[in-house]
Amino acid sequence: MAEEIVKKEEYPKVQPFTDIIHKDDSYYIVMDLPGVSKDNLNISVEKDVLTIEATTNYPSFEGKNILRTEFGNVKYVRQFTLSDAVDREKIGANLKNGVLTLTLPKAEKLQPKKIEIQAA
Amino acid sequence: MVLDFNTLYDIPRTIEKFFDEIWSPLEISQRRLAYPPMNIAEDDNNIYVVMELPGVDVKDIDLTVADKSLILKGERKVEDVEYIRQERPTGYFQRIINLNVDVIRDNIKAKMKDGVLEIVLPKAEEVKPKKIQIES
Repeated sequence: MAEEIVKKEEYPKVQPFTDIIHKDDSYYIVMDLPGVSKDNLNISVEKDVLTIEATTNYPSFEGKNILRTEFGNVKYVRQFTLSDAVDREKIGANLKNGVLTLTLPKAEKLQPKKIEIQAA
Repeated sequence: MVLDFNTLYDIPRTIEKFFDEIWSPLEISQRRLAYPPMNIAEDDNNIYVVMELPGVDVKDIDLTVADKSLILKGERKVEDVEYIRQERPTGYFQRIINLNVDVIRDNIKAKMKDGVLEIVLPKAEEVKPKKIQIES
C-alpha cells in the first residue's frame, strides 16, 4: 500500500488542456482528464484559488511486450484564481468520459444594478 | 466597507506558485506527436492498443480493420459557445496502425472508459507461437 502511494507521487505533473466558457449566468471550466475516474479526482477551493488535482489510472501493460509508448500515467494539476464574480458556494462538478466540467455560477450580488440618483 | 480587497492577488501564494512553476521539470513536454496519443503492446495471444480520447463520443469514432492495418477516424467537435479560453484540441483526426500479423477480425474488442479507448486484437491462430515437439 505504502509503495503504491510513493509510486503515484512519482508521476510527472501535467497541466491539462482547459476551455473556459461563458454561457448565460455561469462560467464553465472544461478540462480534459483522460484516464481519471471519480475516485482519483480532487477539487478544492482555498481562499481565491480553485485547485484541481487528479491522477490517471491507465490500463497496465505489465507482463506484456511494449511496442510503443506515447503517454503514461501523470498527475494533472491546475489552479485558477477566482474573482468575486463567482458564487463559491454553488460551484458544481461533473466528470464524464474523461472530461471534467466545472460550473461556476455568477454571484447574484454582482449582477449589474442600477443606482438611482436622487435629486436634492 | 466600500472597497473590497478580496480580488487582490494573494501575494505569498503567487510567489510560491511562481517557484513551483520554475522548478517543474521542463523535459516533461506536453508536445503531442500525433493525435490521439497511443500505447501499443502485445503478448502471445493479443495486440493491445490504448488511446487517449477524452470527451469523444463513441459514435463519433470510426474504427476499421483493413488489410494489415487498423484505422481510427474521428472528430472532436467544436461547441457553439462563447469561449474565454480554448486549449482543448478540436477537429478531425486519423491514425493508422500497421499490423504485422494477422488478426481475427471478428473478435476485435474495443471499449471506452474515462476517455480512454482500449482495443484488443486477437492474433490469428497461425501466427501464435507454437511449441514443436522434437521426437527422439
